[in-house]
Amino acid sequence: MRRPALIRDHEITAVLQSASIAALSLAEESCLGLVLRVDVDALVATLAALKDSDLGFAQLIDLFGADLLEKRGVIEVTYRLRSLERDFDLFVKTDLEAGGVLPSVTGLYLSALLPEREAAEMFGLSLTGHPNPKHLLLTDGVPPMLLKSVPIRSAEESRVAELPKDDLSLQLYNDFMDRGIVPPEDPDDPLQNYLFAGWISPEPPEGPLVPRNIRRVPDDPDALATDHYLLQMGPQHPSTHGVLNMVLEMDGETIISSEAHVGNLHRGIEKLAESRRYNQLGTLVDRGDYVGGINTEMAVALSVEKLAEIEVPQRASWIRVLMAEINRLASNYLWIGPCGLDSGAMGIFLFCLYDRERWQEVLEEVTGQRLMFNYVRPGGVVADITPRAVALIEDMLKDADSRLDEHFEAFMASEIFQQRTRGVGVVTKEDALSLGATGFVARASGIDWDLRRDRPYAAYDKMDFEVMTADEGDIWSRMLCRFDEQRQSLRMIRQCLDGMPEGDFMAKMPRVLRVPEGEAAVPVEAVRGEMEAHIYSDGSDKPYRMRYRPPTLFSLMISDLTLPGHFLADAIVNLGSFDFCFGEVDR
Amino acid sequence: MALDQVFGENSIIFLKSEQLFDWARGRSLWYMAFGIACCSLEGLIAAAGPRWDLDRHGVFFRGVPRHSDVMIVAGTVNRKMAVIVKRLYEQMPEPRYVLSMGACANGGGPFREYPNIVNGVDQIIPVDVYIPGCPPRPESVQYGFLQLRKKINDDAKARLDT
Ligand code: SF4
Repeated sequence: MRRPALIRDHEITAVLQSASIAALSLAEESCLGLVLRVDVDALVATLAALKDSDLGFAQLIDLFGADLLEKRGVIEVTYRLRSLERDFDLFVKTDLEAGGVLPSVTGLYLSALLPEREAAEMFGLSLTGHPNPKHLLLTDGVPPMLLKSVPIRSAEESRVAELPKDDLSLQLYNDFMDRGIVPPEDPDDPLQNYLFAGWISPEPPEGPLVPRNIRRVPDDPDALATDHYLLQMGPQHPSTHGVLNMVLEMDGETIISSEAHVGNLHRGIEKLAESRRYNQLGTLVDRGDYVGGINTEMAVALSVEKLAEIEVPQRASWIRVLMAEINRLASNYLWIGPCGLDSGAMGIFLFCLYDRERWQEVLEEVTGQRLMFNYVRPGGVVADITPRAVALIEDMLKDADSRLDEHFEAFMASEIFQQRTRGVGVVTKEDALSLGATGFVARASGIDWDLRRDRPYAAYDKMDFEVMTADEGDIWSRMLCRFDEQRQSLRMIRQCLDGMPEGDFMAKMPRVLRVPEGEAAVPVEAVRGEMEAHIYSDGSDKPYRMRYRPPTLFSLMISDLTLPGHFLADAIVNLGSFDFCFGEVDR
Repeated sequence: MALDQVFGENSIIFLKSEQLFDWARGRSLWYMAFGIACCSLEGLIAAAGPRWDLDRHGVFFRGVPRHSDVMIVAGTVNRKMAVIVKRLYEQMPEPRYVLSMGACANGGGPFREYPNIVNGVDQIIPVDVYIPGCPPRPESVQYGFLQLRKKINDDAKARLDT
């Protein structure tokens, strides 16, 4: 495939000039690419000009801050814009002083909704123009954690640290449950004891008691009217696939609006990364996307290698692809199975778990672990593939394709399932672009984009595979695209076994890896979409800042958009089809 | 039937009702489907799957705290989650048991240094069995359940002796 011409800096200068914006600087930065620095006052105008230009910057891929107060006295906020037509990423950076005001760009790019809230709370900034500038991840009272001035616990402190007693108060719990729930008009109403809180009928009921949401229609005593109420779904709910908490505004069975509350699994992966050495970072990002760890480790390793200019041996690159695809298979099985559970099919769950366990055996044989591999490190991989692993893979490959067909027949081909998923949860192409969709969510909405093909890393340039896209953007197309991913993974695994070159699996590395100063981010097609570890290095053996771009945080915004108008029962299948992983949403 | 094998066919057994309940309790430990983090893949999903099949020990998942006997705390509890974990525990009917699974629930695990993390779920709710590992393998969870059963039996015995 012919790659489109790169965007040159004079094209961007022309766009800025026509909008009469003065950029602070526009330069190629060593490991990052083209970086545009603008004043914070000109930020929104700049992004608007870039979005409307014919360069095609339709996607805001990522937005994050970095605390450079010690170095330059500023907090730097980075916007990663992407033009799919020109296959180009532009970094727009702006500087704020401590506690400054960040103008919201949600009017231009919807994908800024949650990342802006996160950046604001993590760096103690305030937001203007944001429709919902609440805390995202932390509870009130926790300091902005990503500032360098906020320390982490020492070894001694973490031994004795105790939970503040207020955190368990009933008040806090009630506040949590009451979020958004309309208070009853008359709290003294004796009916309140009978009905659940928030369901109080305002008018005295006639006949048997009915909750507010099934009031009777006045003219027709037999018909039931529906009413608005709020429903708390999660954090403990078998179908939220983790600790998602959705607050749904309902009208009877139909969802009117939804808001996702996250942060129930926030555990500071980005903060702790600042105190870990480069080859320890894998342990942290594994626990981010805890189902597809190899891919995220690879993102970190690639960024570090780019910064430190490490040449990775060919064999290591091939092993990376092999293991990443096996991991993708195993992870996708853990998505198809629960999707079956969500839509009422138990059998497929057991089928998929059975297959996953068999692939898991290969991963365990090679990496020594079932989930938290820390296998891909800067420079290569930790261990070579063993003859037993090859035998296991070959054994699997014998019937893997036919088993996939079987799963398809047993589950997806079912008419009931198709009726429940076709035309439900539709994400249009425009929404997918503006909400920063990547991976299979983007492909199911007709965006033909796969980083493995379009920006090949590791040994993907030597692989022969196809990328499937669909146009409908509904649950069904997401499932189809991912089923096809499974087939392509199998193809790549075969090619890896056949073409694996001989050689070392690890480059010669110093005991303690020190990385030259700079910034790098290599996007990787992780299991759930695009993941990248944006690493700021200050020349020491630990990263100065690591940004983990979580693909499912962006899918979460998309799901908020697609839920309204659907029945609650469809919401479950819809949520499941985005394959959230809360380790990475909350980090 | 299993009882017949233990006591012989058509035998008459004299039992205190408490004894009978204690005996049954250890053999139908239904846990709540409440996976917090990475550990839930091993402890709740893989363990319930075809390979480990905890079902054969009478261990099965329920979606609701009010149907469950056991809570597996499978993952990292942070300050936002603490109050919810406590509340879920309170919603379970007595007697209720807690398995603390993994380094995170036991003592903060790899994230113990982050000030938002609760270092050990035993600060919030009483824990019966601690399962070490990050993540513990499904076998460990199985062993944890067997230990819990032993603990229930021992408690029952202690009650008989007094
Ligand atoms: S103990 Fe390890 S595997 Fe379990 S939740 Fe904590 S980090 Fe995840």
